[in-house]
Amino acid sequence: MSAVRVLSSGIPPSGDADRIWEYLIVGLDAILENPGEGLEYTTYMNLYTGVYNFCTSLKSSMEEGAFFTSADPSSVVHGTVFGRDLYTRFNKHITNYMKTIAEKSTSYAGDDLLAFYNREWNKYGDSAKLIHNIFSYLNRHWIQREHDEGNNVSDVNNLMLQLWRDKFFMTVRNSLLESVFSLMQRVRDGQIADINMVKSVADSFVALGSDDIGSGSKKMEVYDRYFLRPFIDASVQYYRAESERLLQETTIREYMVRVSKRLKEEDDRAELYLHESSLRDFREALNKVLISKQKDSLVAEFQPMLDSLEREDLQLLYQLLRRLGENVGLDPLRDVFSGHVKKAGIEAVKRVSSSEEAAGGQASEARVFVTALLSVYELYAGLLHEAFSDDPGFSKSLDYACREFVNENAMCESGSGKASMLLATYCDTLLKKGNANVRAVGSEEASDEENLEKHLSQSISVLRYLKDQDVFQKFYQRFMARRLVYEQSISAHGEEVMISKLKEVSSVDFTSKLTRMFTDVTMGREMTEQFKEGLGDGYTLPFDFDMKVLHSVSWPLSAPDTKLTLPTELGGVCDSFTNYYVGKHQKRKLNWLWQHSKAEIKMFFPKATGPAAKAGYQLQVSTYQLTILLLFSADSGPGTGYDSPSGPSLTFDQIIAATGLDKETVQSEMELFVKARLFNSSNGKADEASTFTLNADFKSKRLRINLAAVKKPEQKRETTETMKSVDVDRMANIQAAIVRIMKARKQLSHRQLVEDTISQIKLFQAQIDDIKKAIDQLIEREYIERSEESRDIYNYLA
Amino acid sequence: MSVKLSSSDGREFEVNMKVATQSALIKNLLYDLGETDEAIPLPNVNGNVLEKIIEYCTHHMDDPPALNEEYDDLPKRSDDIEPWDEKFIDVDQELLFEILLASNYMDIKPLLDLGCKTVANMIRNKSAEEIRKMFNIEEDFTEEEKEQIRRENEWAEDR
Repeated sequence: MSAVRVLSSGIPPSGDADRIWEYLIVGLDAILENPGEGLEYTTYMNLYTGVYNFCTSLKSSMEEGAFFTSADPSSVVHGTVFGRDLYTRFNKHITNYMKTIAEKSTSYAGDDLLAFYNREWNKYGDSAKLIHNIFSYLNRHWIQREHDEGNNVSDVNNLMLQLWRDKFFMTVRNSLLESVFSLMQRVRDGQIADINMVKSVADSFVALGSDDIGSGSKKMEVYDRYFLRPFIDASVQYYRAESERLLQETTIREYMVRVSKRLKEEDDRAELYLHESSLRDFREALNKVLISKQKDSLVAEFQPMLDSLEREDLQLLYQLLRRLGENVGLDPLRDVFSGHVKKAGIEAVKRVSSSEEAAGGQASEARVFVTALLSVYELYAGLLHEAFSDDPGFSKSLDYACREFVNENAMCESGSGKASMLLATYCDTLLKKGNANVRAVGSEEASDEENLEKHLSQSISVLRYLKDQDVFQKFYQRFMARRLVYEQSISAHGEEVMISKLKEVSSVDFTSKLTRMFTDVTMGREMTEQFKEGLGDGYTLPFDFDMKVLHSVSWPLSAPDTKLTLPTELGGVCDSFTNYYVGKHQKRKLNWLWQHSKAEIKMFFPKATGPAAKAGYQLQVSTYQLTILLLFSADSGPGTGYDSPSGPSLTFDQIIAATGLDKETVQSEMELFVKARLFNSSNGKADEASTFTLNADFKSKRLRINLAAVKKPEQKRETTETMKSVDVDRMANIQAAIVRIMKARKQLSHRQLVEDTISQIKLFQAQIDDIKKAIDQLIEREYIERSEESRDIYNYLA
Repeated sequence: MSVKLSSSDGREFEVNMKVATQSALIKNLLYDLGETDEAIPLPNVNGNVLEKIIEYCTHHMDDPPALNEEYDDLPKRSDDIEPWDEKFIDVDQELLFEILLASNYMDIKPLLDLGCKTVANMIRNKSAEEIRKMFNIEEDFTEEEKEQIRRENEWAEDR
């Protein structure tokens, strides 16, 4: 009789355990044989009912409707007996089934064994789930009760898994692993094999859980112990051999390439067949045998790679060593990287330091210096991105190295602030009119505006590394003041862009001053317009006039060194502007900074010929120069007492008396005039013994002559002055910091105070000597005192 | 979506899927075998009882699913029966026991609980003699056994 016919022919009557069991066996075997075929509802229900009837066999002996009128008081015991009986029979039957499978498996080996195992495993797994549900009455009652009483009885599904494991798997696992290894060997040797079979086997090991299925503990034990560990051992053995062979046959570079490829392959494959919990262990084992053992040789390759900038190799090496972990793998590389960048930076500056350009004036020096810094910074910042995936550790190393070589190198002594000065000068060059060549460095395709922005951004990158930010700020502010006052800025937009970039890295204190300067200039323009309009009906100025009103707190400008008696031509206009301004802002005081003002005049020489006779020479002069020149003007008119055919003739002292200028100013301006051949001097020089007359024969090819340009020696003086004002500011800063700290702490030891002060001051590196000086001054001014108990302790005096 | 159920005496019921799957047995079967046009036979349940069970499951078809594990661990009470359920289970003893057996067979936990609570309420506050009478149970203890039971339960006696 076929199984199907037996099963659909109905359940044997209740009460006959043996016959029910015979019936159940037919069903079990049919399911085990082919779980995928699917049962009919009737068969499923018949089998379930068979199990139910087996467990509740008592019912048959009862009369209809009289369940509780049992003559047998041990009915509960009965249920137990039938449940245990069924469980035991079931156990025995599946055990026998497993034995036949084990028997069959012995005729397979290699891939065939893997295929057989997987096929049987899949079938069995499906069967187990189905049988578990068909036997659910047993699970729900007898097994549940045993559980409640603390007996360790597995449910049907787990029992089946245990039997698979104990009666079949344990006998076959060694041959199974051998088959897995032989398949893996072929895969690793580049042959084609079905690694899905490895995955199925590994999955079955996972499903088999621990030796104690159902206890819930150590769920991965079977997999870890019988699969993963042997698998890792075999893999390590394979790669140990390969590693040794590679090292003999090829260079370490080639080794690196091959191993990277290998590890990538293994990573990809491992994800296909290993359980996710074991990926890390597997990776680490391979890393150890393929990388750790060669770590020193690999690290040794780093420097030569950097020297020749082999980006791909660097990237490969980085990725390889990263596998060993942040500290173990990468720290050695980071140290080398940092040292290398520092050396490259120092060398780059050294190369340009002796060049002609470096000696060609401050602007030229600044340009070659900053260009050298940027060439190194950009090279390695690029490398950081391309080869080291913007690794934060490497980024830190780069920053450290840059800070080192930017501040101290062949062109900048440590602590001199020169790097800051040069960077500020470079920014000035970028933002000043007439340096198109500097701004165009880089990409020619980009627009002028884009180029300017790019260079400004680069300057900011350098600025981040400056130790003396205050020096940079001081110089930047001065240069910017000069650009604004003399109207030399490339554009208002350029200035604004830079201010906004500076805001990202500098204090508000600094950038708000810059913003204020910028708005002062804009406002000044408007004010001039209003002033001119306000002059009233028909009144026009005798000449074009423009001025800027600057807030003294925001501008690094000071009152003039010398007095000046304004020529009457100018005096009237200045007075009316002063009146106009003070009328608008009554509490403000207006100081005229003549040293920063200039004029444009036309000079006619009696003997001039050609265009110069018609149009005259156009001269750009400072106000001081203008004042002197006006003394010699033919228009000075009668009554001045200096009329003569060749114009007036004045002595040195007369000039001083008429202009109110001090001796130094008169001397330097007259020297310039004589040198420019505008004037004749009685003794050829410009000193107290000289008498000056206008050079009536003056001739120049150019009609426009600029006499107001800043002279070289003054630039040097300006630098020294600026540095001096930096020192003054620093002392004030240090003192303010000390007072702040002492006010908060009341009492502090010398050492602690010095440490706190250094850490509070971010803008520059406070020197211990300066701090000591500041402390002494504060003691003198009674802000703090030395404690009576110990000279090393200071008290704050409120 | 509906499902056909057939009773031991050959009666067929077509019910909503949500009604049928309150039986864990039927739920598992549909999960294991998939849905077909076949009627699901219930060889241990007769038509009268099945009809009654379907009535219960229809009333409760939209109940939120019981929390399986926690449900078992909660201390059981028998005084929390809903009015509808109380009316539903107010049947003669014979039918009550058949419903109990069928809900155990079909694995319908809430109905099994309802039956057990009802039986518990029938027993409550009754003497052994009354219970014997109610369920038609013969007294088969010897005098010695009775004496022993009395001694063991002395602490619980009303005094």
